Amino acid sequence: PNVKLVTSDNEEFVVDFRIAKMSVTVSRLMEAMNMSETDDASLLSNSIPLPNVTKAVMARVIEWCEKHKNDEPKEEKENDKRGRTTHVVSDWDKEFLKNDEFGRLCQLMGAANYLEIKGLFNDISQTIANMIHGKKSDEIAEMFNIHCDLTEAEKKEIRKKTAWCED
Amino acid sequence: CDNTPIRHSLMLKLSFQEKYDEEPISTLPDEVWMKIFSYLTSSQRVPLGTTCKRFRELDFELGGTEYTRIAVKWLSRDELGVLAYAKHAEYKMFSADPAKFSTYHMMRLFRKAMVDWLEIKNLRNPCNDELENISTLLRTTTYKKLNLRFEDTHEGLDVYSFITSLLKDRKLENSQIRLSLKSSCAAFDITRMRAVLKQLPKVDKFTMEWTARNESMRNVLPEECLIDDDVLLHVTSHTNHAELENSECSGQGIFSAFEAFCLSDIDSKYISFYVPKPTVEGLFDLLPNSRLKETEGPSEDGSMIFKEIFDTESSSAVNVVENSSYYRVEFIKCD
Repeated sequence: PNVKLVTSDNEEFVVDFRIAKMSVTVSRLMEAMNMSETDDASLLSNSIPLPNVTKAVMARVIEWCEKHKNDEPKEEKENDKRGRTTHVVSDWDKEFLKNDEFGRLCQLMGAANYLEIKGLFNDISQTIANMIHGKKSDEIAEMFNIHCDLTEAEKKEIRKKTAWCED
Repeated sequence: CDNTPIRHSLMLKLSFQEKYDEEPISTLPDEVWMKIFSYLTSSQRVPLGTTCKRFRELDFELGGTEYTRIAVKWLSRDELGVLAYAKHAEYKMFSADPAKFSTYHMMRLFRKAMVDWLEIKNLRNPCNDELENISTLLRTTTYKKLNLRFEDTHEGLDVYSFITSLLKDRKLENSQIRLSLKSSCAAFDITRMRAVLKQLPKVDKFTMEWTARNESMRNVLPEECLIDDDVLLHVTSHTNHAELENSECSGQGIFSAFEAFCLSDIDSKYISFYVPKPTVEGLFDLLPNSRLKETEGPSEDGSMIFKEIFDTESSSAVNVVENSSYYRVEFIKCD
């Protein structure tokens, strides 16, 4: 059975029920609209509005979901002993996210967050964390296109105080 | 079906997103950035502190610096020192001004910090302002081992609230805690300290040292007997291993605590404390009417064990060991 998803720019995506269910948000909406896998009429007569996701982003999300639809449900990794979370990004996922410039990565992240697709969300989180790892603050600012709202004097003061804890 | 509420909440989300459209980082809410930053250690996050104000706040919120040791010391002169040792670095702060210990920067260093060994001791008299600032500073810091020692402090010093603040609101199930309060005169308030102990959270190992006497005095004074029936029962049910001091427990109190000890589902436990001879006799008087078995009199093999009481069902025992004027009582359980 198929489900119709409608993006903010009014594009209709028809996806397999199983794909749609990968998003907790869509799942919840379908339930609220009494749409069920066994009731074809309910699927045909309704479409799910997703006003936070654009056509371009939706296509990427569906591509990811298609690839991962047969994944075993992954157990949430325990935090390591340093209280940090770790997530292994598969080779396919690395390749999938490799060419996204940062703005697009954020859009995809926003969609994964809004749609509540945990696997995709964790993949992008870890990818962005890896981008930050080992970079200096102005390199991060440049990479993320951040307009710094701290004055040079403030930065100097913060650096002076945190100098001791930099590895 | 009526799905108005859902559409309404979607509209809200939409207008929220439209508001932040300039920078890519603004398109994502704080929780998402927190999640991303949680993949990094606190030292890997240091550069974020000078990237922009928002990242700086989020980095502060996450905290989580790891230390091998933090020492809080009231030094001679007026100074108070906080020394923090991380793997490759150390941080030291000395000041006579208590407010210096709860600045934004200090709070950042200790926010949700994890320390292997937290050491607190005084070489001079602390004042209550200092205790309050240090307890604020360490409010979210978790430790594996705490050694706290206050010696010969002023009578009005509120060490009780301070100790309570170090014990509450954190996970200490695997922590070891040693509290040591020593005074050559009765400067510590036994009632307030008992109240602190009755709120002891679950910890792995607990040691209490309590001295309120002049070295030259021979008799044990009532103010030296910190452990009472309620404290014993509470500590027994909240620790895996406890070493306590002189008690004024009753035979019945010891009996009840041992019952709780036997019922506990932990396989390896140990509790020790000291009682005067009449209390031990009071305990022995209760045995004939209980399921507990005892060995006859002092054991023949010449060991110091005066008497041993068993509960075979839970493999638990009470050892009573002669020890000058006071007897040491030990609860032992092993599988």
